[in-house]
Amino acid sequence: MNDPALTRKEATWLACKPKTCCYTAFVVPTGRDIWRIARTLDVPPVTFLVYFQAPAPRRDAFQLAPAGPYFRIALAKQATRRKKSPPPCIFLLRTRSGYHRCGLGADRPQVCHTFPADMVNGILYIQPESGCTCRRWTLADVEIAEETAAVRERQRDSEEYCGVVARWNATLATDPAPRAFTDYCDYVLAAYDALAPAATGAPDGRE
Amino acid sequence: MAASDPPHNPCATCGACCRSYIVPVCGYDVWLISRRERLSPEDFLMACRQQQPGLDGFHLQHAGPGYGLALDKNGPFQIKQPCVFLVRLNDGHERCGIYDHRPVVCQGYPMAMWSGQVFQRSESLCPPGAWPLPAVLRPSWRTAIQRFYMYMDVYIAVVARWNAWVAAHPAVEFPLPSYFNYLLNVYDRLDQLNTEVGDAALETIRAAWPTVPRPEEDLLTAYGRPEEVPWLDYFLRAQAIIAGFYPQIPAAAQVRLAQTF
Repeated sequence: MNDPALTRKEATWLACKPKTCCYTAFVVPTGRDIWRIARTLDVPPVTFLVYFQAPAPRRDAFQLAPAGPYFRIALAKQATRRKKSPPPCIFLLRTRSGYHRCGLGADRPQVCHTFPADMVNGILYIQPESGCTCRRWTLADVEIAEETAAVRERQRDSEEYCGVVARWNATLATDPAPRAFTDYCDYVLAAYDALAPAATGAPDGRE
Repeated sequence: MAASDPPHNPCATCGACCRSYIVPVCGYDVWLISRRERLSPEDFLMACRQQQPGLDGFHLQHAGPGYGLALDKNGPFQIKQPCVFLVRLNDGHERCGIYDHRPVVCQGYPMAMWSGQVFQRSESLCPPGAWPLPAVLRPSWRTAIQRFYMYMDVYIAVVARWNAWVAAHPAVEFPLPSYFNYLLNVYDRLDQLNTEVGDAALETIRAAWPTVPRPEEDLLTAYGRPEEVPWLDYFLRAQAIIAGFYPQIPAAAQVRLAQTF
Protein backbone atom coordinates (compact mmCIF):
# COMPACT_ATOMS: atom_id res chain seq x y z
CA MET A 1 0.00 0.00 0.00
CA ASN A 2 1.55 3.24 -1.07
CA ASP A 3 1.61 6.09 1.39
CA PRO A 4 -0.80 8.65 -0.03
CA ALA A 5 1.14 11.78 -0.79
CA LEU A 6 0.60 14.45 1.82
CA THR A 7 0.76 18.09 0.98
CA ARG A 8 3.27 20.20 2.86
CA LYS A 9 0.39 21.73 4.80
CA GLU A 10 -1.12 18.38 5.77
CA ALA A 11 2.26 17.11 6.99
CA THR A 12 2.64 20.28 9.07
CA TRP A 13 -0.89 19.94 10.39
CA LEU A 14 -0.37 16.31 11.37
CA ALA A 15 2.87 17.24 13.13
CA CYS A 16 1.04 19.79 15.30
CA LYS A 17 0.80 18.33 18.78
CA PRO A 18 -1.69 20.59 20.62
CA LYS A 19 -4.24 21.25 17.82
CA THR A 20 -5.25 24.44 19.60
CA CYS A 21 -7.55 25.41 16.73
CA CYS A 22 -9.70 22.35 17.52
CA TYR A 23 -10.25 23.79 21.02
CA THR A 24 -10.65 27.49 20.37
CA ALA A 25 -12.51 27.58 17.08
CA PHE A 26 -16.24 27.25 16.70
CA VAL A 27 -16.35 25.15 13.53
CA VAL A 28 -19.23 26.08 11.23
CA PRO A 29 -19.56 23.39 8.56
CA THR A 30 -21.46 23.64 5.30
CA GLY A 31 -24.40 21.40 4.48
CA ARG A 32 -22.13 19.34 2.26
CA ASP A 33 -19.77 18.77 5.19
CA ILE A 34 -22.71 17.65 7.33
CA TRP A 35 -23.96 15.33 4.64
CA ARG A 36 -20.52 13.81 4.04
CA ILE A 37 -19.84 13.21 7.74
CA ALA A 38 -23.32 11.83 8.48
CA ARG A 39 -23.31 9.51 5.49
CA THR A 40 -19.73 8.33 5.97
CA LEU A 41 -20.09 7.66 9.68
CA ASP A 42 -23.67 6.46 9.29
CA VAL A 43 -24.82 8.64 12.17
CA PRO A 44 -27.54 11.31 12.39
CA PRO A 45 -26.27 14.91 12.23
CA VAL A 46 -27.65 15.66 15.69
CA THR A 47 -24.96 13.39 17.15
CA PHE A 48 -22.22 15.80 16.15
CA LEU A 49 -23.92 19.18 15.61
CA VAL A 50 -25.22 22.01 17.72
CA TYR A 51 -27.23 24.98 16.52
CA PHE A 52 -27.08 28.46 17.85
CA GLN A 53 -28.98 31.68 17.30
CA ALA A 54 -27.53 34.12 14.82
CA PRO A 55 -27.70 37.74 16.04
CA ALA A 56 -29.03 38.84 12.64
CA PRO A 57 -30.40 37.15 9.51
CA ARG A 58 -27.65 35.64 7.34
CA ARG A 59 -27.72 33.69 4.12
CA ASP A 60 -26.49 30.55 5.90
CA ALA A 61 -28.93 30.91 8.82
CA PHE A 62 -32.12 28.88 8.94
CA GLN A 63 -35.37 29.38 10.77
CA LEU A 64 -37.52 26.84 12.56
CA ALA A 65 -40.66 28.95 12.47
CA PRO A 66 -41.83 31.80 10.22
CA ALA A 67 -40.71 35.14 11.64
CA GLY A 68 -38.73 33.18 14.23
CA PRO A 69 -35.05 33.62 15.05
CA TYR A 70 -32.32 32.57 12.68
CA PHE A 71 -29.95 29.74 13.56
CA ARG A 72 -26.60 28.47 12.40
CA ILE A 73 -24.93 25.13 12.90
CA ALA A 74 -21.56 24.19 14.35
CA LEU A 75 -19.68 21.05 15.27
CA ALA A 76 -20.44 20.05 18.85
CA LYS A 77 -17.82 20.19 21.55
CA GLN A 78 -16.83 17.51 24.00
CA ALA A 79 -17.93 17.74 27.60
CA THR A 80 -14.88 18.63 29.62
CA ARG A 81 -14.04 19.34 33.23
CA ARG A 82 -11.11 21.55 32.31
CA LYS A 83 -11.89 25.15 33.07
CA LYS A 84 -8.66 26.65 31.79
CA SER A 85 -9.10 25.71 28.14
CA PRO A 86 -12.12 25.81 25.84
CA PRO A 87 -13.77 22.46 25.18
CA PRO A 88 -12.30 20.41 22.32
CA CYS A 89 -14.13 19.56 19.12
CA ILE A 90 -16.29 16.46 19.46
CA PHE A 91 -14.11 14.66 16.91
CA LEU A 92 -10.77 15.48 18.50
CA LEU A 93 -8.73 12.54 19.81
CA ARG A 94 -5.95 12.93 22.34
CA THR A 95 -3.22 10.42 23.11
CA ARG A 96 -1.74 9.90 26.55
CA SER A 97 1.31 11.95 25.59
CA GLY A 98 -0.80 14.89 24.46
CA TYR A 99 -0.75 14.41 20.69
CA HIS A 100 -4.05 15.25 19.07
CA ARG A 101 -5.62 13.79 15.97
CA CYS A 102 -8.83 14.57 14.11
CA GLY A 103 -11.18 11.58 14.25
CA LEU A 104 -12.62 12.62 10.90
CA GLY A 105 -9.32 12.66 9.04
CA ALA A 106 -9.91 13.46 5.38
CA ASP A 107 -13.66 13.79 6.01
CA ARG A 108 -13.24 16.86 8.21
CA PRO A 109 -15.09 20.03 7.17
CA GLN A 110 -13.64 22.09 4.36
CA VAL A 111 -13.20 25.02 6.71
CA CYS A 112 -10.82 22.83 8.74
CA HIS A 113 -8.99 21.67 5.61
CA THR A 114 -8.33 25.23 4.55
CA PHE A 115 -7.64 26.78 7.97
CA PRO A 116 -6.00 29.29 8.38
CA ALA A 117 -6.09 30.26 4.68
CA ASP A 118 -8.64 32.55 3.13
CA MET A 119 -9.05 34.44 -0.11
CA VAL A 120 -10.04 38.02 -0.86
CA ASN A 121 -10.40 39.29 -4.40
CA GLY A 122 -8.84 36.12 -5.71
CA ILE A 123 -5.73 36.52 -3.56
CA LEU A 124 -4.87 33.76 -1.11
CA TYR A 125 -3.67 34.88 2.28
CA ILE A 126 -3.09 33.43 5.73
CA GLN A 127 -5.17 34.88 8.54
CA PRO A 128 -2.64 36.69 10.71
CA GLU A 129 -4.52 36.05 13.96
CA SER A 130 -5.24 32.38 13.40
CA GLY A 131 -4.79 31.50 17.07
CA CYS A 132 -2.38 28.67 16.32
CA THR A 133 0.07 27.99 19.14
CA CYS A 134 2.22 25.45 17.30
CA ARG A 135 3.60 27.80 14.69
CA ARG A 136 3.06 31.01 12.78
CA TRP A 137 1.58 29.96 9.47
CA THR A 138 2.73 31.71 6.32
CA LEU A 139 2.08 31.21 2.63
CA ALA A 140 5.40 29.37 2.55
CA ASP A 141 3.68 26.52 4.42
CA VAL A 142 1.15 25.84 1.68
CA GLU A 143 1.10 25.04 -2.02
CA ILE A 144 -0.61 28.18 -3.29
CA ALA A 145 -2.37 26.60 -6.26
CA GLU A 146 -3.65 23.67 -4.20
CA GLU A 147 -4.73 25.83 -1.31
CA THR A 148 -6.43 28.30 -3.63
CA ALA A 149 -8.40 25.44 -5.16
CA ALA A 150 -9.39 24.19 -1.69
CA VAL A 151 -10.56 27.64 -0.56
CA ARG A 152 -12.52 28.09 -3.80
CA GLU A 153 -14.17 24.74 -3.19
CA ARG A 154 -15.07 25.84 0.32
CA GLN A 155 -16.55 29.03 -1.07
CA ARG A 156 -18.54 27.06 -3.65
CA ASP A 157 -19.82 24.75 -0.91
CA SER A 158 -20.83 27.77 1.16
CA GLU A 159 -22.74 29.28 -1.75
CA GLU A 160 -24.43 25.95 -2.41
CA TYR A 161 -25.42 25.72 1.26
CA CYS A 162 -26.88 29.22 1.22
CA GLY A 163 -29.14 28.06 -1.61
CA VAL A 164 -30.19 24.99 0.37
CA VAL A 165 -30.95 27.17 3.40
CA ALA A 166 -32.92 29.65 1.29
CA ARG A 167 -35.15 26.86 -0.04
CA TRP A 168 -35.80 25.63 3.52
CA ASN A 169 -36.67 29.10 4.76
CA ALA A 170 -38.95 29.61 1.76
CA THR A 171 -40.94 26.48 2.60
CA LEU A 172 -41.73 27.97 6.00
CA ALA A 173 -43.62 30.74 4.26
CA THR A 174 -45.96 28.27 2.57
CA ASP A 175 -46.23 25.84 5.47
CA PRO A 176 -45.83 27.79 8.70
CA ALA A 177 -45.93 24.83 11.11
CA PRO A 178 -42.97 25.00 13.50
CA ARG A 179 -40.14 22.59 12.78
CA ALA A 180 -37.63 20.82 15.00
CA PHE A 181 -33.88 20.88 14.45
CA THR A 182 -34.01 17.19 13.44
CA ASP A 183 -36.45 18.17 10.66
CA TYR A 184 -33.88 20.61 9.38
CA CYS A 185 -31.18 17.92 9.52
CA ASP A 186 -33.45 15.52 7.58
CA TYR A 187 -33.96 18.21 4.99
CA VAL A 188 -30.24 18.90 4.62
CA LEU A 189 -29.42 15.21 4.13
CA ALA A 190 -32.19 14.80 1.57
CA ALA A 191 -31.13 17.96 -0.24
CA TYR A 192 -27.54 16.78 -0.60
CA ASP A 193 -28.58 13.24 -1.48
CA ALA A 194 -30.30 14.88 -4.44
CA LEU A 195 -27.34 17.15 -5.19
CA ALA A 196 -24.56 14.53 -4.78
CA PRO A 197 -22.05 13.70 -6.07
CA ALA A 198 -20.13 16.94 -6.06
CA ALA A 199 -16.68 18.31 -5.70
CA THR A 200 -16.03 17.00 -2.21
CA GLY A 201 -16.95 13.45 -3.15
CA ALA A 202 -19.50 10.94 -1.97
CA PRO A 203 -19.15 8.91 1.23
CA ASP A 204 -17.42 5.56 1.00
CA GLY A 205 -20.28 3.49 2.38
CA ARG A 206 -18.24 2.03 5.21
CA GLU A 207 -19.52 -0.89 7.22
CA MET B 1 -31.26 7.64 6.14
CA ALA B 2 -33.09 10.60 7.55
CA ALA B 3 -31.62 12.38 10.53
CA SER B 4 -34.21 10.83 12.82
CA ASP B 5 -33.95 7.32 11.35
CA PRO B 6 -31.98 4.61 13.14
CA PRO B 7 -28.55 4.04 11.58
CA HIS B 8 -27.96 1.12 9.20
CA ASN B 9 -24.85 0.01 10.97
CA PRO B 10 -25.21 -1.67 14.38
CA CYS B 11 -21.75 -0.39 15.30
CA ALA B 12 -22.94 3.23 15.01
CA THR B 13 -24.77 3.17 18.32
CA CYS B 14 -22.73 0.53 20.08
CA GLY B 15 -18.94 0.65 20.39
CA ALA B 16 -19.09 -1.95 23.18
CA CYS B 17 -16.07 -3.78 21.76
CA CYS B 18 -14.07 -0.52 21.74
CA ARG B 19 -14.76 -0.16 25.46
CA SER B 20 -14.50 -3.78 26.54
CA TYR B 21 -11.32 -5.28 25.17
CA ILE B 22 -7.63 -4.75 25.23
CA VAL B 23 -7.19 -4.50 21.44
CA PRO B 24 -4.17 -6.49 20.24
CA VAL B 25 -2.31 -5.21 17.20
CA CYS B 26 0.16 -6.76 14.78
CA GLY B 27 3.21 -5.13 13.22
CA TYR B 28 1.28 -4.09 10.12
CA ASP B 29 -1.23 -2.20 12.28
CA VAL B 30 1.60 -0.43 14.09
CA TRP B 31 3.18 0.58 10.81
CA LEU B 32 -0.07 1.67 9.14
CA ILE B 33 -1.36 3.78 12.03
CA SER B 34 2.05 5.28 12.64
CA ARG B 35 2.57 6.17 8.98
CA ARG B 36 -0.90 7.42 8.19
CA GLU B 37 -1.54 9.30 11.41
CA ARG B 38 2.09 10.39 11.74
CA LEU B 39 2.13 9.20 15.30
CA SER B 40 5.03 7.51 17.03
CA PRO B 41 4.06 3.99 18.20
CA GLU B 42 4.79 5.03 21.79
CA ASP B 43 1.94 7.52 21.50
CA PHE B 44 -0.82 4.99 20.91
CA LEU B 45 0.46 1.59 22.02
CA MET B 46 1.01 -0.28 25.23
CA ALA B 47 3.24 -3.33 25.64
CA CYS B 48 1.42 -5.95 27.70
CA ARG B 49 3.19 -8.82 29.37
CA GLN B 50 1.71 -12.06 28.01
CA GLN B 51 0.32 -14.37 30.67
CA GLN B 52 0.77 -17.30 28.30
CA PRO B 53 3.65 -16.99 25.85
CA GLY B 54 2.35 -16.64 22.30
CA LEU B 55 4.04 -16.72 18.91
CA ASP B 56 3.37 -12.99 18.61
CA GLY B 57 5.12 -12.32 21.92
CA PHE B 58 8.29 -10.29 21.57
CA HIS B 59 11.08 -10.20 24.09
CA LEU B 60 13.13 -7.29 25.28
CA GLN B 61 15.60 -9.47 27.13
CA HIS B 62 16.75 -13.03 26.53
CA ALA B 63 14.71 -15.41 28.72
CA GLY B 64 12.60 -12.42 29.75
CA PRO B 65 8.81 -12.28 29.48
CA GLY B 66 7.01 -12.09 26.15
CA TYR B 67 5.05 -8.95 25.38
CA GLY B 68 2.13 -8.25 23.10
CA LEU B 69 1.16 -4.85 21.72
CA ALA B 70 -2.25 -3.31 22.28
CA LEU B 71 -3.93 0.00 21.52
CA ASP B 72 -3.76 2.42 24.41
CA LYS B 73 -6.90 3.46 26.27
CA ASN B 74 -8.44 6.79 27.01
CA GLY B 75 -7.71 7.15 30.72
CA PRO B 76 -6.23 4.33 32.77
CA PHE B 77 -5.03 1.37 30.71
CA GLN B 78 -7.77 -0.96 31.85
CA ILE B 79 -9.98 -3.40 30.04
CA LYS B 80 -13.23 -1.44 30.41
CA GLN B 81 -11.80 1.90 29.34
CA PRO B 82 -12.56 3.30 25.85
CA CYS B 83 -9.99 2.86 23.10
CA VAL B 84 -7.70 5.87 22.63
CA PHE B 85 -9.09 6.27 19.11
CA LEU B 86 -12.79 6.09 20.01
CA VAL B 87 -14.77 9.22 19.13
CA ARG B 88 -17.73 9.69 21.45
CA LEU B 89 -20.60 11.56 19.86
CA ASN B 90 -23.87 12.77 21.31
CA ASP B 91 -26.83 10.48 21.99
CA GLY B 92 -24.56 7.52 22.79
CA HIS B 93 -23.10 7.20 19.29
CA GLU B 94 -19.45 6.20 19.10
CA ARG B 95 -17.24 5.83 16.06
CA CYS B 96 -13.67 4.81 15.39
CA GLY B 97 -11.48 7.86 14.80
CA ILE B 98 -9.00 5.92 12.63
CA TYR B 99 -11.58 3.83 10.80
CA ASP B 100 -9.66 3.47 7.54
CA HIS B 101 -6.52 2.46 9.42
CA ARG B 102 -8.06 0.45 12.24
CA PRO B 103 -6.32 -2.77 13.30
CA VAL B 104 -6.97 -5.96 11.34
CA VAL B 105 -8.48 -7.59 14.42
CA CYS B 106 -11.09 -4.80 14.59
CA GLN B 107 -11.91 -5.21 10.90
CA GLY B 108 -12.94 -8.83 11.43
CA TYR B 109 -14.79 -8.40 14.72
CA PRO B 110 -17.22 -9.99 15.67
CA MET B 111 -16.78 -12.71 13.06
CA ALA B 112 -14.52 -15.76 12.89
CA MET B 113 -13.98 -18.47 10.31
CA TRP B 114 -13.52 -22.23 10.50
CA SER B 115 -13.17 -24.52 7.49
CA GLY B 116 -14.13 -21.65 5.23
CA GLN B 117 -17.37 -20.84 7.09
CA VAL B 118 -17.80 -17.36 8.55
CA PHE B 119 -19.76 -17.17 11.78
CA GLN B 120 -20.37 -14.71 14.59
CA ARG B 121 -18.26 -15.37 17.67
CA SER B 122 -20.45 -16.73 20.44
CA GLU B 123 -18.77 -14.50 23.02
CA SER B 124 -19.11 -11.31 20.96
CA LEU B 125 -20.47 -8.23 22.68
CA CYS B 126 -22.80 -7.14 19.88
CA PRO B 127 -26.46 -6.62 20.85
CA PRO B 128 -28.79 -9.54 20.06
CA GLY B 129 -29.93 -9.47 16.45
CA ALA B 130 -27.26 -6.99 15.41
CA TRP B 131 -25.94 -9.31 12.72
CA PRO B 132 -28.66 -11.25 10.92
CA LEU B 133 -27.45 -14.06 8.65
CA PRO B 134 -27.31 -11.99 5.43
CA ALA B 135 -25.04 -9.53 7.23
CA VAL B 136 -22.81 -12.36 8.46
CA LEU B 137 -22.50 -13.68 4.91
CA ARG B 138 -21.21 -10.40 3.49
CA PRO B 139 -17.98 -11.07 1.54
CA SER B 140 -16.24 -8.25 3.38
CA TRP B 141 -16.07 -10.38 6.55
CA ARG B 142 -14.27 -13.18 4.76
CA THR B 143 -11.84 -10.66 3.27
CA ALA B 144 -11.19 -9.14 6.69
CA ILE B 145 -10.55 -12.52 8.32
CA GLN B 146 -8.27 -13.66 5.49
CA ARG B 147 -6.36 -10.42 5.90
CA PHE B 148 -6.05 -11.09 9.62
CA TYR B 149 -4.48 -14.52 9.04
CA MET B 150 -2.11 -13.17 6.42
CA TYR B 151 -0.88 -10.26 8.51
CA MET B 152 -0.57 -12.40 11.65
CA ASP B 153 1.51 -15.02 9.86
CA VAL B 154 3.88 -12.36 8.60
CA TYR B 155 3.99 -10.72 12.03
CA ILE B 156 4.89 -14.00 13.71
CA ALA B 157 7.86 -14.28 11.36
CA VAL B 158 8.80 -10.66 12.14
CA VAL B 159 8.61 -11.32 15.89
CA ALA B 160 10.62 -14.55 15.58
CA ARG B 161 13.41 -12.64 13.85
CA TRP B 162 13.50 -10.00 16.57
CA ASN B 163 13.46 -12.64 19.30
CA ALA B 164 16.37 -14.45 17.65
CA TRP B 165 18.28 -11.15 17.69
CA VAL B 166 17.49 -10.62 21.37
CA ALA B 167 18.48 -14.21 22.16
CA ALA B 168 21.84 -13.61 20.50
CA HIS B 169 22.50 -10.77 22.97
CA PRO B 170 21.79 -12.29 26.38
CA ALA B 171 23.41 -9.47 28.30
CA VAL B 172 21.37 -6.70 26.70
CA GLU B 173 18.00 -5.35 27.78
CA PHE B 174 16.47 -3.72 24.72
CA PRO B 175 14.26 -0.65 25.19
CA LEU B 176 10.76 -0.81 23.72
CA PRO B 177 11.42 1.95 21.15
CA SER B 178 14.14 -0.22 19.59
CA TYR B 179 11.48 -2.84 18.87
CA PHE B 180 9.25 -0.15 17.34
CA ASN B 181 12.14 1.04 15.18
CA TYR B 182 12.65 -2.51 13.98
CA LEU B 183 8.95 -2.89 13.17
CA LEU B 184 8.73 0.33 11.18
CA ASN B 185 11.84 -0.61 9.19
CA VAL B 186 10.64 -4.13 8.44
CA TYR B 187 7.18 -3.03 7.40
CA ASP B 188 8.53 -0.26 5.20
CA ARG B 189 10.39 -2.98 3.30
CA LEU B 190 7.33 -5.23 3.26
CA ASP B 191 5.34 -2.31 1.89
CA GLN B 192 7.78 -2.15 -1.00
CA LEU B 193 7.07 -5.83 -1.61
CA ASN B 194 3.34 -5.10 -1.62
CA THR B 195 3.89 -2.32 -4.13
CA GLU B 196 5.89 -4.65 -6.36
CA VAL B 197 3.20 -7.34 -6.14
CA GLY B 198 0.40 -4.87 -6.86
CA ASP B 199 -3.05 -4.46 -5.34
CA ALA B 200 -4.84 -6.93 -7.62
CA ALA B 201 -2.35 -9.74 -7.05
CA LEU B 202 -2.30 -8.97 -3.35
CA GLU B 203 -6.07 -9.40 -3.19
CA THR B 204 -5.72 -12.84 -4.83
CA ILE B 205 -3.00 -13.77 -2.35
CA ARG B 206 -5.11 -12.63 0.61
CA ALA B 207 -8.13 -14.53 -0.67
CA ALA B 208 -6.13 -17.77 -0.89
CA TRP B 209 -4.33 -17.42 2.43
CA PRO B 210 -4.91 -20.58 4.54
CA THR B 211 -7.16 -20.18 7.53
CA VAL B 212 -7.83 -22.75 10.22
CA PRO B 213 -7.53 -25.71 10.26
CA ARG B 214 -4.05 -25.49 8.74
CA PRO B 215 -1.35 -27.96 7.77
CA GLU B 216 1.18 -28.75 10.47
CA GLU B 217 4.07 -29.71 8.22
CA ASP B 218 6.64 -27.49 6.54
CA LEU B 219 4.90 -25.41 3.88
CA LEU B 220 7.18 -26.49 1.07
CA THR B 221 6.33 -30.11 1.90
CA ALA B 222 2.62 -29.34 2.15
CA TYR B 223 2.20 -27.12 -0.91
CA GLY B 224 5.08 -27.95 -3.23
CA ARG B 225 6.37 -25.42 -5.72
CA PRO B 226 5.89 -21.86 -4.44
CA GLU B 227 5.90 -20.42 -7.97
CA GLU B 228 2.62 -22.25 -8.50
CA VAL B 229 1.13 -21.10 -5.17
CA PRO B 230 1.03 -17.28 -5.16
CA TRP B 231 0.33 -16.83 -1.45
CA LEU B 232 3.24 -19.16 -0.55
CA ASP B 233 5.52 -17.36 -2.97
CA TYR B 234 4.53 -14.07 -1.31
CA PHE B 235 5.10 -15.50 2.16
CA LEU B 236 8.56 -16.77 1.20
CA ARG B 237 9.46 -13.40 -0.28
CA ALA B 238 8.29 -11.71 2.92
CA GLN B 239 10.34 -14.19 4.95
CA ALA B 240 13.41 -13.39 2.85
CA ILE B 241 12.93 -9.67 3.52
CA ILE B 242 12.57 -10.32 7.23
CA ALA B 243 15.68 -12.53 7.22
CA GLY B 244 17.54 -9.59 5.67
CA PHE B 245 17.32 -7.86 9.03
CA TYR B 246 20.09 -8.98 11.38
CA PRO B 247 21.74 -11.05 8.61
CA GLN B 248 24.27 -12.50 11.04
CA ILE B 249 21.44 -14.52 12.63
CA PRO B 250 20.69 -17.73 10.66
CA ALA B 251 17.23 -17.87 9.05
CA ALA B 252 14.71 -20.49 10.15
CA ALA B 253 15.24 -23.81 8.37
CA GLN B 254 11.54 -24.51 7.88
CA VAL B 255 8.48 -22.37 7.20
CA ARG B 256 5.35 -23.31 9.07
CA LEU B 257 2.02 -21.66 9.78
CA ALA B 258 0.84 -21.07 13.34
CA GLN B 259 -1.94 -23.41 14.40
CA THR B 260 -3.61 -20.84 16.61
CA PHE B 261 -3.14 -17.16 17.41
